[in-house]
Amino acid sequence: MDVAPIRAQLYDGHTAAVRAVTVRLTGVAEYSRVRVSGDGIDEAPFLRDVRIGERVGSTNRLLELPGHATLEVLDNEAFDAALRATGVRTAEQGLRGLEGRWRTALILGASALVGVGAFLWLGLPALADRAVALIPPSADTYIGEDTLRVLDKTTFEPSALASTRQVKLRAELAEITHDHQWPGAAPTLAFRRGGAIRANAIALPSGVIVLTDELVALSKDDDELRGVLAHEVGHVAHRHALRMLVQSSASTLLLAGVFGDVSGAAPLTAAAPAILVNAAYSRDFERQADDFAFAWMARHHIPPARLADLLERLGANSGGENGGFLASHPDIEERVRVAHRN
Amino acid sequence: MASDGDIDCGSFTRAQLEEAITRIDRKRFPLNYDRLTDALAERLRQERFLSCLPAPSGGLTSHELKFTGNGGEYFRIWIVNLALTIATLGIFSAWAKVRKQRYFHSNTVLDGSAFGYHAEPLKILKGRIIAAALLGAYVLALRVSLAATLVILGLIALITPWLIVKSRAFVSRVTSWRGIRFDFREDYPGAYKTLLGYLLLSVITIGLMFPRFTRERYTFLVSRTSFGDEEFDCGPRIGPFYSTAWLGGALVAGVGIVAAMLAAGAKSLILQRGLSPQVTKVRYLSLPLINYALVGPVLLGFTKARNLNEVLNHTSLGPHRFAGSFDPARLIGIYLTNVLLIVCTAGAFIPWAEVRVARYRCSAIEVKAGSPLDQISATPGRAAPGAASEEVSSFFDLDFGF
Repeated sequence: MDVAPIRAQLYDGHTAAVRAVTVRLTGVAEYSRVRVSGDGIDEAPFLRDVRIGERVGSTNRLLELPGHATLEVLDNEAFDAALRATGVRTAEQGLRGLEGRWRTALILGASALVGVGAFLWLGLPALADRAVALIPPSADTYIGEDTLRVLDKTTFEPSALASTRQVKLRAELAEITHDHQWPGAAPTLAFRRGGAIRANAIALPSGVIVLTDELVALSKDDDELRGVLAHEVGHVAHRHALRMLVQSSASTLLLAGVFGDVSGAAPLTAAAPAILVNAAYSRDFERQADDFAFAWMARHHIPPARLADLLERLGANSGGENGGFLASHPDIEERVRVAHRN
Repeated sequence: MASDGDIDCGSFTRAQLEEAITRIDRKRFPLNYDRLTDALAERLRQERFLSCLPAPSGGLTSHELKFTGNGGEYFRIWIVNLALTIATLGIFSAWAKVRKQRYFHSNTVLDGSAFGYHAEPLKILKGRIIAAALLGAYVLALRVSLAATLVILGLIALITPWLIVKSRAFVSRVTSWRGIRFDFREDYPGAYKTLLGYLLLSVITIGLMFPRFTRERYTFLVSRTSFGDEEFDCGPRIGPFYSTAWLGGALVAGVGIVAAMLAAGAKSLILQRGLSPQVTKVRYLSLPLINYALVGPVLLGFTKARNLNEVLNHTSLGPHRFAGSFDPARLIGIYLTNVLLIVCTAGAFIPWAEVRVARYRCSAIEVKAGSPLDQISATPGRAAPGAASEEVSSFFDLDFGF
């Protein structure tokens, strides 16, 4: 079977000279040949020995002939028609169908967006749960100790809290941890002067809860501090530090893979979505820890609003930086509202 | 009537000489025939000799690079790539990369011929798996332990020059123009001297040697690259790299101060008006925003435009020269509006942003041919190496290309 000649440029691979030729596809299926003629050339290699380059968008297709010569096809539509006539299929035909129309491309894009959103929102937390279950508690201990060493060097100073007060608070913590089954050692308490992080409490993966002198000073009574401790015990019980580590590493990698390839804006497009998503994860963990604390407080007849009181004072103290999509903690007002509901 | 031996062919063009030789009656005018063939041989010798000399500045033929792609078309390719990458849990990303590169290469046209991209997706997939494993280990280590992070950072610094060479070799050998491949000479001692040695020097001198490092890096990457049988020659001056660094630093400081003042002004205005405390988030947002959206594009646009001009204007390939006409203000404008539009459209503008950069880049690069480009010669036959190094470099953002 013969079809009309197709315009092409031949490059011989030895010089950058251009030779105007015409191409014809003859024969059917595996017996198809590519007949190249013009400018003193007349060759007809088998189509199966020719590497048919992909056609992307409206660019010219490159055909790598046996030997070193290359053909740049100038009339794409005619060549595609001829290729169809020989019965040879190329891998990209399906893709071109999707890319060719705005509607299919947009539908695909929207479903991809929904898919990524659903994965980040539901799939990844569930996967992280499973992954964390596989990590032995000794890993938590190791990571926690390393973190505390770094914080001690960079941020914290030794605590100036009276030892009687320390003993009292340790006893309070023991009361909270008593209610929960611990696979390893139960959480312990460490006292530090907060320095740059001011009034704060941190639950390290190792189960060490760091309470800053500034936070103790800010509290009105021990019920408020018991609320804070219960919140931090909640973080440890749910292994939030390790889950955050797994979830945020995975989401950062994923989003960098999807968006991290833009000239001049790569840091922004790779980092910004990851920052937003990881902040959302962090807020989820805070809510979970709050729920843990409120439940424990209710069981022990401490009004959950006592934790809310301290949170409100904390919020006023730090200048109302809370809330918004970048924040690592939920809005103070929201947390207080939830506390009053409990 | 002409008699034999009186032909005066001194003013003949080469084509006229060739035509005369085919037409002449050799038996009737043997002397004229000899004269003609001698003249043609001499002419050919001269031409060959001339093509070996550096071209005189007047005799250069200018060829502009043209970019023929457009944002709408690339958007559809990009979004299909994205959807299939997600649907196949990342496996399609190797094919997606090849399609993207093909799109940008094949839409870059020089003297009527498009560039070609010939990487095999399977090789890229293998490379991506290795790179993802390494990057995953690195990201984990970063959060797990300081000591592990330092060890890994040290290892990365040690293998970076090797990785960059391997990666450039891969990228060069899968890139073609008119059926001729680019290549990259794997000069490892040179790579360690420039990419690690000068980097360490610039760290030790607290950045004073950084412009020198930039210059050596460009020079190394360009001059080890070859096209066909010819290696690129690259000798940019050192001065412009220093002035670009000083001016760039001053520009960034200026932009940072103005932006910080604007942010502070906006905040005090908000507080004065007694608007909701929620709005004080402005302060919280301002620092990363200034960094990502303003300082990055300004610094990158300014230094890239000026450095690329200096490099291109001092690069040659045999008798051919190059010229760069990047306008720092234009490039900064393109980068800034790209960032703004990408943020405003939640990423949907990314394909248009990339096409804008590619189009401007092509419009600012000129090839000044010292002899017909057709005469570039090549000795074919060098297979591309594995893609692992290229993928690791791009995952770790080590890409130093144009």
